[in-house]
Formats: sequence, structure tokens, C-alpha cells
Amino acid sequence: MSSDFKLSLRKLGHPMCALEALTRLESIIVSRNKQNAGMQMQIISEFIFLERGKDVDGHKGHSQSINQMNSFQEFQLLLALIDYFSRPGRDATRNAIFLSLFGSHLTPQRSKLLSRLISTAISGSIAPLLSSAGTWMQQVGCKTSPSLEVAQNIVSDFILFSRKTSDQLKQLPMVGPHFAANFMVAVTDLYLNDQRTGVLTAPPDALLDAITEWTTENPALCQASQQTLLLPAGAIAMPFTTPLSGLLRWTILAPLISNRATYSHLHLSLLQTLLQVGCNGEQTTVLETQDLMQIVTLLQNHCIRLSEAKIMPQDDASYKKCMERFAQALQIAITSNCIFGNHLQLLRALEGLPPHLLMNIVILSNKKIY
Amino acid sequence: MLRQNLLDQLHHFITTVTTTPSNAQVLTQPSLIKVALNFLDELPATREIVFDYFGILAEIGVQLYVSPEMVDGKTGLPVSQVKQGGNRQQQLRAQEYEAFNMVKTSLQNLIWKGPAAWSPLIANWSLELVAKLSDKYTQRRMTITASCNYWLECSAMHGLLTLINSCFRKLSNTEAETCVETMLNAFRRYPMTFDWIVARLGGCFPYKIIMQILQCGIKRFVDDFRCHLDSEAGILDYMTSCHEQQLRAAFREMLKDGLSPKKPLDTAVVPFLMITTNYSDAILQSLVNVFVELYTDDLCDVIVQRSPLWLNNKMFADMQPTLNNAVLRLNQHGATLLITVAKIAEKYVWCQDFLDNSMQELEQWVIKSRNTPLLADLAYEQTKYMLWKSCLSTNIMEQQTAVRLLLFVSSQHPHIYYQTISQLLRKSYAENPNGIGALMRMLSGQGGVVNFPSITQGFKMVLEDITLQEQVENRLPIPPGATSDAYNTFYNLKMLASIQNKNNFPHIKPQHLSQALNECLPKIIQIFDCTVNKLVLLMDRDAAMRTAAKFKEQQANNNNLETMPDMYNGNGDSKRPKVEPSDEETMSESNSNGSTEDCDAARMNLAHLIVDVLNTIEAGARKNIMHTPLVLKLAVLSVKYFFVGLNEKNAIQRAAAAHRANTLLQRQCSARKIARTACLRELLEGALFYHGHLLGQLEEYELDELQIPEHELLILQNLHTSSGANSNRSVLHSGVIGRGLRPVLLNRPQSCDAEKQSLYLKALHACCADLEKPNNVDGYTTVSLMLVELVSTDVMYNGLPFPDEDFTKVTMERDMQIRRAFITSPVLWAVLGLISTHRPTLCYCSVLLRALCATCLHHWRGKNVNKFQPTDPNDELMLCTKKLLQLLAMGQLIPPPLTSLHMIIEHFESQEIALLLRECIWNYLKDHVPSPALFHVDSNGLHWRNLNQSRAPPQYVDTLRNLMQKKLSKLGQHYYQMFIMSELHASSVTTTAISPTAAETAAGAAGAVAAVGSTEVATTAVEEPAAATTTKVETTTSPIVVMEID
Repeated sequence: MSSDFKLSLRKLGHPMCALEALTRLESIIVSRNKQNAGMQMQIISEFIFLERGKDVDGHKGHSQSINQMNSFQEFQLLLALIDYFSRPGRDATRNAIFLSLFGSHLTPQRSKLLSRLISTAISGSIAPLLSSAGTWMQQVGCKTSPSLEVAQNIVSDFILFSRKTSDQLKQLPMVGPHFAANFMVAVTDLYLNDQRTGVLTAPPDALLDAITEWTTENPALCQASQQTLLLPAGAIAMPFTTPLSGLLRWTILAPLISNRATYSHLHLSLLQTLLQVGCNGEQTTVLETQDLMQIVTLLQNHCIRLSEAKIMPQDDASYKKCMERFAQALQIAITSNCIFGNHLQLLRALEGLPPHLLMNIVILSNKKIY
Repeated sequence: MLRQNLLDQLHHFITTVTTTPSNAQVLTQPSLIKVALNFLDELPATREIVFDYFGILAEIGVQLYVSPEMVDGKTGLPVSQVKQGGNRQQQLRAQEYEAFNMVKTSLQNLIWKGPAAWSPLIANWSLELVAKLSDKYTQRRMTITASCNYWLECSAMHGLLTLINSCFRKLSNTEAETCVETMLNAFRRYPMTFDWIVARLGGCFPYKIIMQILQCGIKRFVDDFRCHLDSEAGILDYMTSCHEQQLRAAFREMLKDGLSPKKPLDTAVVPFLMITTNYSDAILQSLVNVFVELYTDDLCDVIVQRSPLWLNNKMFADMQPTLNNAVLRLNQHGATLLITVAKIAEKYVWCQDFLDNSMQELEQWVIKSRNTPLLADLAYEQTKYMLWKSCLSTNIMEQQTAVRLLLFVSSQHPHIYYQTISQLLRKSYAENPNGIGALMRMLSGQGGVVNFPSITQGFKMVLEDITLQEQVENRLPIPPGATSDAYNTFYNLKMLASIQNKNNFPHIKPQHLSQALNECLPKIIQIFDCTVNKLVLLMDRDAAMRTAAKFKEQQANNNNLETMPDMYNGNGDSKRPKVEPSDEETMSESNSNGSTEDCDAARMNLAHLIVDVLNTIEAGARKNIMHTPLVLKLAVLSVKYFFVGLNEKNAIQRAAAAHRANTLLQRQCSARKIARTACLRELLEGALFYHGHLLGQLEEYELDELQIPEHELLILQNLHTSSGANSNRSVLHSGVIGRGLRPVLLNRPQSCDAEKQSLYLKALHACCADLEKPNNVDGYTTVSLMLVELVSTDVMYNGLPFPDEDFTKVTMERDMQIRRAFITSPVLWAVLGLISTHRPTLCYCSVLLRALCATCLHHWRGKNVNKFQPTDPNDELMLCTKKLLQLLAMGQLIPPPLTSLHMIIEHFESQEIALLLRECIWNYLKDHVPSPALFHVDSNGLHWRNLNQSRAPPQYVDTLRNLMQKKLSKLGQHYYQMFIMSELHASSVTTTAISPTAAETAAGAAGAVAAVGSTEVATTAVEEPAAATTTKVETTTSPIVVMEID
């Protein structure tokens, strides 16, 4: 049966066979036939990504030559995928297909295609596709390299190479809030994070502007990642992450390298989000102590650099500003009960930093509680 | 719906591009291009395919460009601007051909106005694309320039390069680094077809590219030293045209490494650079420029020390022959290089080899009269100066190299030859005697070259300069101790000419130099003129000042003296203060401006040198053609020089100067009659009028030295007293009563007079002597005729015959004036003496003799009979009489025994003297007109008068005989000699045949003067007929004839 199917597919030209294959995949996934997993992979590889020569079956034993699609073929496939995902259908199935296409065996070729696909989806405001992409991100993890690569590509497509911030990007929180939230998580990891590059790199201005606009206009955006994932039965949903901790790191560390007013706006909207989370009253894990500890470590590193340059951290204006923002955020987060993890450990770590008046007050007032 | 529309467009775009990949017409539709461009903004994910599509568009353009379809039928060149030309089909395809332009415009817009991220992207894309297209569509290998020209005609290629250029301007440093890397990678991939792009784009980061290319080349070179570096060299060559500075900087950097190697690669630097220079002249030039800039003596040591390292490289070891040609290819600094090598050639053999080879090669080029860049360098102004400097070097090698180089370039640029000669001539070689070797070599010219410039022009150039310098006083201050250009030049010329005369000049053709100098004679004479005239002016000024000072002195003494000195007896008063020394002191003090004196001395030296040169080149000789004005000028100047030479400080210098002048005069005068006339006239006029002070002339009084008011002037007073026979004879009056006599200057005895007069006579002799016909007296005839003209003031009664004695009253005033001329210019006696020895020329001076005789006669007669005055042997009148008698005797105008009269005349009383003069001398001369007819011409062309045959008839002698008999006690000896002996002898002569020997014996008896005359006759074989006579006249009077006996 499967060889018949393959033959019929082979008769079709490239973009068409991909579309057919997707339909076929859908049915396989729906049937939840475990034996078909291998078949699934073959179809994806041969008919969708055209990774295997067409004559592989005809000449067994012939080396498995990997065919590269040229970029035009890629786009034909891409159009086919968009076509498929734009069809009405169950979200869960779509997510499943998406995950099976890009969830594993992510070769550079596929990864490139994925970035282009998502980028095109943003340009074309294709909500279903973006929703699936959001799910995919969460499932593979927002801070893993595939996600980061995707984020990086989107940033260069819409920010670096763009003469103006495109409307599609601005509207992204509305079209695909889940994706937008996960994208933010990934993007925050790319910038102002010296564990990745060794230096603190500021995010591109346009990106910062866009994100500030997003959070200001959609206060709930940061919690969008908490949506329940629509996965096929039996699949395990991965824990969600919020962009809050990453964004807080941006605003807290920003004074060290930039004094753009946008950071203050962003800080304000973050604080408001935190307050809102508190108002909901439910116990949510918005901030992990680990993430906050990362900020502390970064600050410590900075203090070491300062003292190497013979500057007292306490007198450094930018450092003071950092600590002020940190203290504000911390106080609100504690009050809103959004911090998950060992509070005491965090407070002790904070005490290890060069003293700051506001921070000391915050620490003292909270130590009493624990 | 917009979003959907976008996706549809994408769909359409992809379908179009993929389904019709070769249909250019569809692909180049503007609408499609617009869609694609729109995607860049709206659908960023499609960036890659959009650029792929642009690549296709570019390729279509290039394809069209290279395809035969688009070749213009007439020219065979691609139709570049299709819109303007081409056939119909070609016009149809114009849109396709130009499609890329639209893309280019938008992309450029992006680069200029869009985010910075675009530039590196577009740059890399374009580079890759250009590399690919150029590699794919280059049909044959072309030079870089040709490639550039070919490809830039293509609009797509041009567009791409424009894009790259725009991008490069926007790139940050690190991005640029990557781009360069991309470019070089492409270059490594397609070294044959990408070089033009590197060369073209290298201009954006010239230094970086050059450095990278060099590094790239050196790596290849180290891997395989036989590799071809055409592309690298090509790129460097191309870039040199605009970015020589960067290339030099890169070379500098590399040489720094190469000369002090730290890593193994560094040892290959120098060989590599050397090899690279073989590929291109421009690279060679740059490298040499850098090297010349870096070069120091220390560096030379370093090179010597390091060279073994480089020699390990086989290629380098084999490349010396190519190195030899290298210097010929240099446009700049070639000469510097050669000279530098020459400087150290003594130390290193390889330098000599290099030098020899290069010079030989260059010589070949020159002889074949072909051009090489080096010759252009040599003709360069700065090089010229450097070579001149090197010509003066003490390093023989350097000097010779410089000279050879100058000779080479001279064959093509004659003006350099002239300038060089001009420069070298004016240098002083006193400290570096070898230096003149350069000049000699230079003058001998370059062998084997036709039409090599002649040296004359060079001489003319330097002489022209000197003329200006001499004419314009102190144009450039000469540092003390240094000699002037003029001096140096003439010194060198003299040196060269005399070397040549000695035939010690191996290189130069004989007569070459003299001939050239003779051609320059007008210039030399001009300089000579300027110099001598200045000297003459100076001399005259000094003399005038000295005279003025003397007169002042005299005037001051005038009234204090108790006895007024007799005008004609200047030395009568022994107490006359000596004024000369103090005068000279004051003169020198007043003139003690050291520099002017130095200057004058230098000028004098210059004059000497010029005369030396003129003598050495035999200026004015018959074989040299000269124009008459020039002949005259040279004659006049020669005489002036003679007089200036008399003004020299000591006798040796005077003699030397006179000797020079005589040589000069003699040559001219024997060559040309007109020169002789001019010289003689100048000499005589000089002695009598202009420069008399040199020869003991009495200084002329200034008009108002007695401060006589105008109305008291004698000549005016005489106009009033117009009665009596002598009313118009002012000369008979002797002054104005009340003011005393005119002050008389003591000018004798001056020790220099005799010497100077002798020099003067020698000069006259030099002018008159005819080397070919020793007995020709034409010259002396001219002198005597001229003397008459100059001394005698009257045009009448200047004939030869002596009139009746009474008739002298008519000519008395004129006679007195002539007499006075002899007093003021004692040198006249000497001149007459000279003439008298060259018979019969004294005859022409008959009028002078007559005047002297007449005045003496009158004066003796006028002596107061009543008051006895013992005649002073030094009395002017006595001396004059004596000299007159001597002259007559010497000129054979009076016969023996009257010839001896001058010896005894002083023993007679004044009345007796008057009688003797009248009876014996005047009457004899009246009856025997002193004319050349009296003289016979013998077989040798010599004039003489056999006085033994024509003895004086008794009526002229008897008076003397009687007077002598009266004083026989005193004059017995003389009487015997004059009368007895000669008569005895005469009787014997009559018996024997008359012969010269008999004449000699007779003359021996007749007295010293006559003896000399007959000796002459007897020894006609002697070349110089002017046998000298030193007549010993008493004490201090100037000798009549002072001629040395050779």
C-alpha cells in the first residue's frame, strides 16, 4: 500500500507531491499508528523536503545521496506548506504535523526552511501557522538553538533589513500571541546576555521599540505563553516560560550600556504586568529565582569590571539605576507573589552585591517575612 | 486582500522564474522586477531568491553582451548602448540587456538609504556574482586594463561594480575585512579571470588589497618559486597607477620584515619582490622609490649581511642578469641608484659587475639610439644636478659613472651636454685635481654616436654666463677664499688647452678643443674686454689720484723752497722730498677696502688667465678666420692688457704679463697687417697719452694748478699785446710774473722706468717683428710714421729734408713742442732708439730729429756768453743733445767720425757745441737728406749704409777736427780713434777689396755704435736683426736703447 502511495506521489511534480504528502501525513497522525512512524519520516524526507533522490527505491544499494532543493523549490514547498496550514482544520492536527516536520531531525536545510516559513507567515499574517509555530517553540524549548535561530532570523528579516518596522510585526501579538510571547522569550535571551556572547549587546532599537509597544498595548501578552497547548492526544506539553524575566533583565541591565527612554517605558509596562499578575490572585510562576539569580550574576560581573577600573560601584550612576530598577521589580514581584523558588537564597545573593539603599530596604523588609 | 495578494505574487513570481528559466523576455519584464523589489520590503524571507533572480537578470545582460547577436556589424565591438545603435533585433533585446539597471538603481537606493545590514550582504553577493560571471564568460585571457575596459562596457557588470563600490563606502572596518576576504577568496578561486575585479575594486581599500595580494603572492612563491605571478603583478601594476602611495607603504612594510627577518617567510620577501619587479615596470619603479628612500649606509651593511639568506632561494640566485636590465627600466631614481652603487663599488665586486653590465647595456641602447625609461630619468632636472655633483666626487668610480651617464643622455639631449660642460668648467679643481678628469672625459664625447653635440655650444654657454657675471658687478657675492666662476673657467680652459697642446689628450681629437674655443672667441674677447677695461679704469683712477696727491704736496712746498726748481731740470734740487712712498701709502689706505683689492687682484689674475688661454689656443693666428671688428678689438685689448700688466706689483709679474702680452701681440701682428697697425697705434698712443705715467711720463698739469684767473691767462694777455714778430708765440713766455714758476714734478729717476721701458720696447718689437721675413722693417716704418703723426703737431714741413738753418725760425714753435714732448715722455727716446736700429726707418722721423736738433742748436747758442756756466753733464740740454747724436749715429744718418761725437760733446763749451751742431750735423743732414734712398738693400733684404765708402766730406768734419785739436790734451785718445785710426784704415781699405770683414774692422775703430751696426751687417745669419746695444751713458739718465742681448 505504501509503495503504491509513494508511486502515485512520485508521479506528481514537486510542490504537488508535498501537498499530497501532507494530507497523507495527517491521516497517519490521526490514525496514531505507531508503526507508521518510520513511514512518516520517509514521506517527510522524500516528498516534502526532497531529501532523497527519486531513484533511491529503484536502485537499492545506491548511496543515499542527499539532494538539496534550490531556493526556488524551497519556496514552492513553502507555498505548499502555507497553503496546507491555511486550510481549515483542527489545530491539534496542524500542531502535530508541524512538530513532526520540524520537531526532530532538524537539518540545516530544514531549519532554514523553517525560518523562512515563519518569516513568510509573519509577513502574510497567517495565524494558524503562527499558532503552530508557537506551539513548536514551546515544545522544543524557547531557549534552545532551533528557537533562537528562528528568532534571530526573524529579527534580521524584520528589524535589521527593514527600512521601517513593518505593520505585520506590529500586529504580531494580535495575530499570534502565543508565538509572539515565545518569540520574546527567545529574543530576550539573544541580547543583554553576556553568558552567550561575553559582552552585553544591546537589542536593535527597532526591536526594543516593537517589544515595548507590544507589552504596553497588550499587557496580557506576557502571559500568553501560559495558554494550554493543543496537542494530539498522548503528547506531553512542555512547561511554558514567560518573557517577563528576560525583559526584566533587559530593563535592569540597560543603564549599563544605554540610556534610551524606551527602557523606562518597558520597565513601567513590566511592573504593571507584574502587578496585574498579582491582582489575579492565583499562584503563578511568572518569575523563576534562577532567572533573577542570572541578573545578579551579571551585575556582579559588572561590579568586578568596575572595581578593576578603580571605580566604586556604589558611586557609579548606571549601577545605582540598575539597582533601583531591580529593587522596584523585586519588591513588586514579591508583593505580587510571582516569584517561584528559594526566596532566601535570592535575597542572600542580593546582599552579596555592593550595597544600595533602596535594595537594602527591600531586602530587609522581605527578610522579616521569610 | 493584501496579505493574500502578497502570497499570490510570490506564487506567481516563483512559478514564472522556475517554469521559464531561460526565457529572458519573460524574466526581464519590468512588472516582475517590480514585484521582486517589492518583496525585499514586504516579504523579507524571500531575500535569497530575489537576489538569485537578480543574479539571473545580470547573467542575461552579460550573456547578451558577449553573444555575437549583439555585436555591431561594422565595428566588431559589442553594442554597448543599444538604444542608440544596433539593428532592429538588437533594439528588441535592449530591454533585456538593460534590465539589470532597474535592479541596480533600487539596490543602490537601499545601500544609501536603507539599514546598514544591506551593504555587506549586497557587497558579498555582487562580488560572488561578478566573479562567477567573469569566470564564466571570459573567452580569452586579456590584460587587466583590457578586461576592465571590456567588462565595464557591459551595463550589468558595470552596475554590479558600482554596487560593490557603493557598498564598500558604507562598510565598517570589520565588514570591510570580510569583504576583502571574500574578494581574495574569489581571486584564489579564479586567479585568471578575477584579477581585473580586484584591481578595479582595490581602489576602495588600496592598502589592504595591495598588502593582501603581496602576502598571497609571497605564499605562492614560497610554495613554488617557479610559479607565475602574472595576476598578482597585474593587479599591482594596475593599482600602481592610482595608488602608488599605498603600494610604496606596503613595500616599505614588507622590506622592513624582509631586511630583518623574524619568521621563515620573511627571508623570501626580498627574492619575491625582486621577482615581482620582473613583471612590471611600475612595480619596479615603486620598489626602487621605496628603496632609495630607505637607503642608508647602514642599510647597505644589513643587505650585505642578509644576502646569503636570500641566495638560498634558487630563483633569486639565478636572477642577476635580469637585475642588470632592471635599472634601464626605471623612470625615476635610476641615476640615483647607479650612483649609489658606484659609491660602494670599490668595496663590493658585485656592485662593479652590476654597474658594468648596466652601463654596457645602456651604452648599447644609446648607440642604437633607442629610448629607454632610464634615459628619461637622466634627462630629468634633479638627476642632472645630482650627476653634476657626482662628477666632482673624489670617488673615481662615482665620478666616471656620472660622466658616462651624462654622456649617454647627452647624445639625445644636447642641451644637457652643453649645460654639463658649462657647469664642470666653472668648478675649481684646486682641491680635487682628479676632478678635471671628468671634464676631460666629458669633452671627448660619446663614441659611436652619430651627431653627438659639439663642445662649442657648451663653451659658449659658460662664457655667456661669465660675461653676465663680469658685466654685472657683484651679482652674487663670492665667499672669501673662493675663486670666481670666471677664474675657474679660464683656469680649466687653460689647463685643458695646454694638455691638449702637449698631445696628452688621448680621447679628444687634436685641434678639436682649440677650434671650439676659437669659435667662441667673440665671447672670450667680450669677457676680456670687460675685465681689461675695468682694470684700465682702475689703473687710470689710481694714477690720477696719485698725481693729484703729488701736486698738492708740490704746491705746499712751492713757496717754502728757496730756489725754484728748473722746469727742465727736475732733479736739480736734491732736497726735494720723496713723496712717492707716503703717496702710495695713502693710496693704499684710501683704497684699503680689502674686498675691492681682492676683487681687483682676482680680476688681474683673470686677465692673465684669459691671455694665457688666448695664447694657448693661438687666437688671432692666421689660420683662424676672424672678422675685422674682432681683430681690431682683440688688438686693442691686447695692448690694454699690456699696459695693465705693467701696473703689476713686482718685476717678475710684470715680466710674465709682458711676455704673455708679447706672445699675443706678435701672433696677431704677424698674421694680419691691420692688427699690427692697430696694435702699434694703441701702444704708441697709450705710451704717449693714456698710460704715459707707467713709462715715466711727466704728469700733465691741471689747468688751474696755478690758480691763474682767467683774465690773466697768458694766451689772453698775448692777444692784447699784438705787436712784434713774436706776438703770437706764447711759448716763448715762461709764465706769469708774480706767481712763480710752474711747479715741476720730480719724476726721475724712477727705478722702474728702465725696466718698464724695456718691456715696452719688447712689446713694440713683438708687434713689428716679422717671423717669416726677419729683415722686414714695415712694422718699424709704421712706428716711425706714427710717431711723426703723434708728436708733430703740424701738418706742414713734415718732410724728410733738413732746410736751411735759418728756416728753423718758422717752425720754432712746433719744434719746441716736439722737444717738449720728448721731455714729458722720455719713452720717446727709447722708441726712437729702437727704430734707429732698424734702418732705414729712422729717416721717417726726420722731422722729429730736425726739431730736436734745431731746438738744441738754439738753446746752446742762446747760453749767456758773458756769464760762464759750467755745463752740467746731467743738464737736460746736454742730455738731449747727446741722445740726439747717439740716435743719428745709430741710425747711420751721420757718417764717422761724427758717429763718435756724442762721447766727447760734453767736453765742449756751449758756443762750441752750437757750432758743432750747426756745421757738422745740421749742414751734413741738410746736404744728405736722411731718406731711405741713402741705404742699400743687400741680398738678405737688410738695409745698411756703407759709411766707410761715404765718409763725411771735410767741410762737415773740419770744424770738429779743429775744436778737438784745441783740446787735444783732453781728447787725444778720441782724436786718435776718430781721425787717425780711421784714416789709416781707410787707406788700407782702398788697397784691399772692400769686404764685410774690412767694414767690421773699420767700424770697430769707429766706435761702439757703429761697431754694432757693422756687426749686424757681418752677421746677417742671425735671426733677430735687432742687435742690442747697451750704451753706457753716464749715471742715472735713462738709456736710449735698452735691449737685452739674447
